[in-house]
Amino acid sequence: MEEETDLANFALDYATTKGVSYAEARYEHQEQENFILKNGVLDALYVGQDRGVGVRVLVNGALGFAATNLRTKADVRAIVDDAIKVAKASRRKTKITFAHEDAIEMNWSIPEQRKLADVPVEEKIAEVQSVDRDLMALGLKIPARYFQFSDNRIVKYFANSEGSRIRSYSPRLRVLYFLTVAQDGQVEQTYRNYGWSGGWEGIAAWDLGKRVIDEARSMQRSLVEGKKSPEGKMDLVAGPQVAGIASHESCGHPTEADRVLGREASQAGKSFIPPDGIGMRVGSEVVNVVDDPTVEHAIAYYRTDDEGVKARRRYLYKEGRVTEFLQNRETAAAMHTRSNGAARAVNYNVEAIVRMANTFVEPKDHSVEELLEDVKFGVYMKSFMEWNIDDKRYNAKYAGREAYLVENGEVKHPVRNTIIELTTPAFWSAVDAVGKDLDFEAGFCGKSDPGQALDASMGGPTIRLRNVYLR
Amino acid sequence: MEDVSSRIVEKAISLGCQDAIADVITNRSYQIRFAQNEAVISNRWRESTASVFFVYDKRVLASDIKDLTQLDAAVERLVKIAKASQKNPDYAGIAKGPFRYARVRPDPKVLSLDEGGKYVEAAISGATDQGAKECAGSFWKY
Repeated sequence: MEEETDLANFALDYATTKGVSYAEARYEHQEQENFILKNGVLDALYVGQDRGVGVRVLVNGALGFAATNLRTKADVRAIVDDAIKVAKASRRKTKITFAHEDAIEMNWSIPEQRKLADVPVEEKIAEVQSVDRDLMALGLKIPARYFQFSDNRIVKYFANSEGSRIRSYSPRLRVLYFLTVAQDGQVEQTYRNYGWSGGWEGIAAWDLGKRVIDEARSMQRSLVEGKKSPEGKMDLVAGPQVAGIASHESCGHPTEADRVLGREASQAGKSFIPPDGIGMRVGSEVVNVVDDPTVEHAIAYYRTDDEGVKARRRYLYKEGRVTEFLQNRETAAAMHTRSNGAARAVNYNVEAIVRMANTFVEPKDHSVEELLEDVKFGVYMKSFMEWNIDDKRYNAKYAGREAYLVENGEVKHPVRNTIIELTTPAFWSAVDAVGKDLDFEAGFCGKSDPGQALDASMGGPTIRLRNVYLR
Repeated sequence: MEDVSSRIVEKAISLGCQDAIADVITNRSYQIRFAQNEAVISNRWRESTASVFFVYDKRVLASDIKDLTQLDAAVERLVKIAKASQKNPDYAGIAKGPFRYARVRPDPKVLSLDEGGKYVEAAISGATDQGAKECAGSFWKY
């Protein structure tokens, strides 16, 4: 028997002899390659592998979790004892329960046309260096070029005391970059992040070289031709990257049931949506925002979550109303509903908590040209550079990167540093039309203590907001 | 742990590395997370990790060795990868030692602390006694 099933099943068998009401064991083996290319120079190469077992138990209505990377049965037995001991010591007044789930047995894996493990690291470095060389060949002044490449091959085995047995394999690929373009004492900066679930073919699917060069050219154009962004109430046409960050920050986070219930109060924060907020209006009738782990090749693709629940699309906002919270089995029980498969952990050594996967505005049927053509005066913000939002996900601010003035339906000169500063309902209520040009970017979603920076993606099509205050 | 660190560094140097750093950590942390005025989960860890940094002819490699039972093989593999990597002309070396560091002497009361629940309860009741409606946070023993 392979190590993962052997150790996890051993942990489970041992735990179930100890009188727990629920136990699960999650074995993970992650193999990573990661490098940074700084101004064309390979700064450092990181290679690593990590594997271990995490055990979570429910005892007397309290949760205990323990993990080890010391892969002996003695150590696994010790963490089971640890988890039970700390759970018993919790002395909760209200008892934690889990929403019902049927046990499932499944093997799933994400196919790779060319396996990441078969691509030499030298080839991976050469690929990113060729993008960097093409970028420099533009002849622009780019004093800071920072590319970070990472791939991660994740093997998991999940088993619980209800009979679920799930083995999975997820290969993931990511490239993120920062650029600074300078001209006449002014600088323009950008940050983009692309992710993929699958094999090495993801690099070609991104068309990374073209994206980076288009980005650098638009930065140069902003520096040379950019003017101050207009201030006042006007229309805003926001590109997929802007729709994506707003989906993640002001739809995904406030619909995480653990935040709604207060479990993340001292870490990620809470939510402006109350526990009885299903049906609450937060946007116009054209706004559908979904979170979907089953989007093929998105970096947060999965078929079962880290509690062994099958993944499915979740409508967070539908026709402008809060429709569904992201749930794990614990929050689902507290809200008298079912889990929708949103429990994820960054590795074996942390508990699975409620997380987004791939969050996006559901596309409709307008072209970008149609969205722009009846804007009398406004801004077309294709991308953003910085953002912030409060811990209840109500007041948000996004600062534009690539943006243009729009007059009588025509895209004019670039405008710099456009600021959107709106409440979540004000942002989504202003949306009157949604495009069809769905696109995604990757991100790291942070939450919990110990911190779990987890693979996520976010996106959308271009959307149009009417009569919003910009500066 | 000192033996493990020294063994990693010596092995890397013997394989041709000019610079080598190993930082071995044994993690036996204990945590209670609490929210809404009660514990939400208690966590414990039993982990050992060596974070390593090797430089071979300006080729810089970082890694974590998680399986300390296979140290020599892990170092050999990593140095081989470092040798096949590219030079970083900006690499200027690590600070010259040797350095002496004060040994941390942890409070024995903290070391023997095995049950954090009463401290969590004290924090929650302390906050609520002062009028707080809700108390949340983390108790950690490292």
